[in-house]
Amino acid sequence: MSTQPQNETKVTLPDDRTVVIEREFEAPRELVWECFSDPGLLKEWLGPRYLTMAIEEYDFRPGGKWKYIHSDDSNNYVFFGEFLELNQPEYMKQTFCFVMEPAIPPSIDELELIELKGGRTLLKTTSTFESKDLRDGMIQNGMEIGVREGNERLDELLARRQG
Amino acid sequence: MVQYSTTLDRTFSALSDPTRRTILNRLVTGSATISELAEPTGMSLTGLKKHVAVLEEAHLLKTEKRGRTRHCFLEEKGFDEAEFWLEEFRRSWADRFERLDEVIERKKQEGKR
Repeated sequence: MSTQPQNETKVTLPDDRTVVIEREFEAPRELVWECFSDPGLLKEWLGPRYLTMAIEEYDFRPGGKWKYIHSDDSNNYVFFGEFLELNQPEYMKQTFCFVMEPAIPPSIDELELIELKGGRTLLKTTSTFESKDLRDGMIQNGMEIGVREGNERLDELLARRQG
Repeated sequence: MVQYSTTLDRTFSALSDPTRRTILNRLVTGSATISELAEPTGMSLTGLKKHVAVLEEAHLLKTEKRGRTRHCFLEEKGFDEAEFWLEEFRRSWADRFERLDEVIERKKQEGKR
């Protein structure tokens, strides 16, 4: 196990329809890329900790489709999309959507891996949504799933609101 | 949950306008009257009052009438909520990336063998 402090995850909203996530990794980008391109490795880290993750389809080439399902005892969360551009090991562009009623338009996700000194990598993802409402909704939906991890901070906030 | 979502939508949309962000930035340094806020933006008092009303709705700003002038202050409640959701979103990714670190570390060890 690595003993160094964890690298910081930064989230920014540069405009109304976009979310940018940035994070540095202590590895060359070929290795980080592998963790995205190999579904066996992706499965190990992408799903929320308390959900099981099943990858149904992961055709990692331009025009290839992907689909995975997060499940718990009572619910399935189905995510799907298509790889639009792949430029190993630095750039990937895909559509990202999840199954819900009524159906929503997909976002466009871009992954950039930028080489840093000392064999390190900056990962940057840019998600662009069709509208501001969809962007904000996604931030909250991610949150609603997170709530089930027994989130104490939400309880605190609720208590404060009621108080 | 429904109540929350409405509040968050309002907060995000209030923060999405550059003039309103300028107003809030100005208020970080202390309270100001409507005309003091209008001056640097080159906006009419009526136009500025509309922005102030939107910020007030979103609980990002409070106003108080003192004599004939209305003073504006930052209100922390709105900021707390917008930041709360974003911070939760950030944490969910920080958590995934922590696991990605573990996968990477393992792959590095395997590569050394």
